[in-house]
Amino acid sequence: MRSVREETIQSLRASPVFALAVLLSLGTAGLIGLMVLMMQLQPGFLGMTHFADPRHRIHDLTFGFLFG
Amino acid sequence: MTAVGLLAQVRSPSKNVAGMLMALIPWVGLLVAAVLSADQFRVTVINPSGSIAAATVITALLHPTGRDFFRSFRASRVNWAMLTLVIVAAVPLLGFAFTNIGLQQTVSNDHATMGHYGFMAAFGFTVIGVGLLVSLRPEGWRLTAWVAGLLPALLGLASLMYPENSSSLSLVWALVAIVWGVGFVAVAERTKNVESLAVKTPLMPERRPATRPAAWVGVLRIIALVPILLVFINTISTLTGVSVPIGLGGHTAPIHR
Repeated sequence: MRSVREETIQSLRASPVFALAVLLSLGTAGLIGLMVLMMQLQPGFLGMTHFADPRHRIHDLTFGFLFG
Repeated sequence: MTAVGLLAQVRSPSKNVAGMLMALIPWVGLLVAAVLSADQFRVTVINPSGSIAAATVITALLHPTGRDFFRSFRASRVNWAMLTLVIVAAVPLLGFAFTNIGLQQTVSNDHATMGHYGFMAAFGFTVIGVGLLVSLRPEGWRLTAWVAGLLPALLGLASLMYPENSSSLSLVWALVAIVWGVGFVAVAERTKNVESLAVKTPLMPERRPATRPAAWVGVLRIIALVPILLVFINTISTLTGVSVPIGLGGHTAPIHR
């Protein structure tokens, strides 16, 4: 049985364009997640106070569950 | 959920087609919610999901299984126990979704302004969609089963933590959501060994291309990467405040003479 690392490396080598697309998409999602985190830690970051508002917590979490 | 589905593609994408589809389902749910509430702008446009949606769709189109993507979808693989659980849950989930669609259409508060009721409707459609996907048990379905069970359970837990929030489930429905989620995962795990009858039914032999793909196919694949790269650069630009002149919403400084 091959290890996760071996399988991952083989997948990356077999389909490098697809792997790059996956990594860029994940990177974009990660950056947006970072922005949201910054908005919570530092209300007003990028002019947004929305994510620091506890009234929206259920909606924000639901959005995070779906797209995070 | 989208990120989990994409992450599954890093390791053996051909064994994780369920994860790739799972990554797409929330966008479909959001789109359906936007169309039904006739409020596409507030539900789909004024949130950061659009850029990841585009990247996810292009990634799916580049999936290395190509035409064999749906190879593991067969009637003999259907798990009837999980399908029954999804059908039972679909009734309250559709009620939840259409209630929120109604709120998105009629209420004028800051939740509606930011498309939040649309997100909640999308949640209902997504749980049904992922549940149906899992019931078909395509390649990589087990990860998807866990996500399908975790989604309602997490909403139930969040509702218990924030009972006063808008769209928070009542105590009874929160507990029902948690129990259903745990039950769904339990049924998936309990029946994974029974799958031998259905899932181990030999699949069609994997089609191998007789010749290497034409060079233009490779070129098209690389061209398809460009929009994803632009979205990524634009996101970095937004986060860092450094303007990048790629025409994706970045603002350049005015020229003073």
